[in-house]
Amino acid sequence: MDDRLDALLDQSGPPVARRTPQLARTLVQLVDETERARPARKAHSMRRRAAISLAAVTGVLALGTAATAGGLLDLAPQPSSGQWDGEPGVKTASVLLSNGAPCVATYAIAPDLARGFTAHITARDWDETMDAAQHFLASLDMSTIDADAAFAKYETARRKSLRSDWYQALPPEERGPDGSTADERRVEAVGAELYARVQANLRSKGLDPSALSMTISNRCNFGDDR
Amino acid sequence: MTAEHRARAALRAFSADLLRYFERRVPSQEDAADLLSETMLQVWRRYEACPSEAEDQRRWLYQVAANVLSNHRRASRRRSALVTKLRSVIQTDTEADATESVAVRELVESLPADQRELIRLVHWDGLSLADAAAVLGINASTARSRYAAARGKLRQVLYEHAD
Repeated sequence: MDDRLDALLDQSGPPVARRTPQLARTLVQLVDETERARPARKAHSMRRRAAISLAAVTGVLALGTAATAGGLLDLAPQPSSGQWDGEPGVKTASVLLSNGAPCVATYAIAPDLARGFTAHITARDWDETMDAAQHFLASLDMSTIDADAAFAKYETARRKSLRSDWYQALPPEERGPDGSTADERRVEAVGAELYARVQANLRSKGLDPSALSMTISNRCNFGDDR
Repeated sequence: MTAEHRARAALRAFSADLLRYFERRVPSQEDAADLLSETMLQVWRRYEACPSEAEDQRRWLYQVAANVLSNHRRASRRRSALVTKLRSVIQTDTEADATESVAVRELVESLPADQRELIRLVHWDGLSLADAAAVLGINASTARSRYAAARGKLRQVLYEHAD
């Protein structure tokens, strides 16, 4: 009976599309298309470092998120223009670059679905966390973020990360050239501050902020001010 | 092989399996195409984490797919022209469905949710019981007992039916 049961169960799946050459080609094209659609990265090692640096910065900022408002901030909500505008959990802001030009950047939170399965985060947790984060962001006034202060914190944490044991332990090929410009980091710094505020808000509600990630997108010309 | 190469190879190797995973879990095949696309985007966001061994890659991809599915009603998906094409390809050419398969499927669907998904992962997707446990985020012994219980119920109904 068990062999028969196995066979019956194996065959009980709902019908699926025939695996045709056309379908195979379309799937390969989709793999390639989604690869091209991923966020642009200059170099793996630089990105890895930036990601860890961002984590370090958000850790620092999470300790004191009552950032001072005003100052040299040139950051204001933008009229809808980007592809994600209007979606919950998305904030758009204008960050003043070193050449005086504004950079419109989009900061979006999303469930971190590819973080690897974490048994302690359930679908309900994700829903609740996303709801809370979206609610928080909907009421957040971006002009309360001091871009200069955020950048200063970000740079301090970044320098600390570059001197850290984990970074020094990386093989040279993993370190790579530092490809980020100060202006790029300025835009990232605003994201780090925003992310830190989201994290702090979620923690205050007993929610796990690691269920979410933040992506930053922009079409700005950062030049070369390394 | 770089992480990018690994991720690309893994997606190419298992994209048809992932598509089948979604086809069998969402009401419309068009939604399956969207969810597959979303899964690939999620993988590219974290391609550095792609394991090097094929079996580990498969389990990892199913974990991502399971997360995407559970997030289905929230996911904001942008449908590209290629996804639209995939939706039309899988919509127009579907396998036949045998009467016996439909009857057994109805039995599977009548199982409690925690047992049902185990049966699906093992018998519809071909995962090992250990990999299915990992995808569901439960330990192997729990998976074994749930799987045995599910089989016991199915066997009982099928025996009764046979008698």
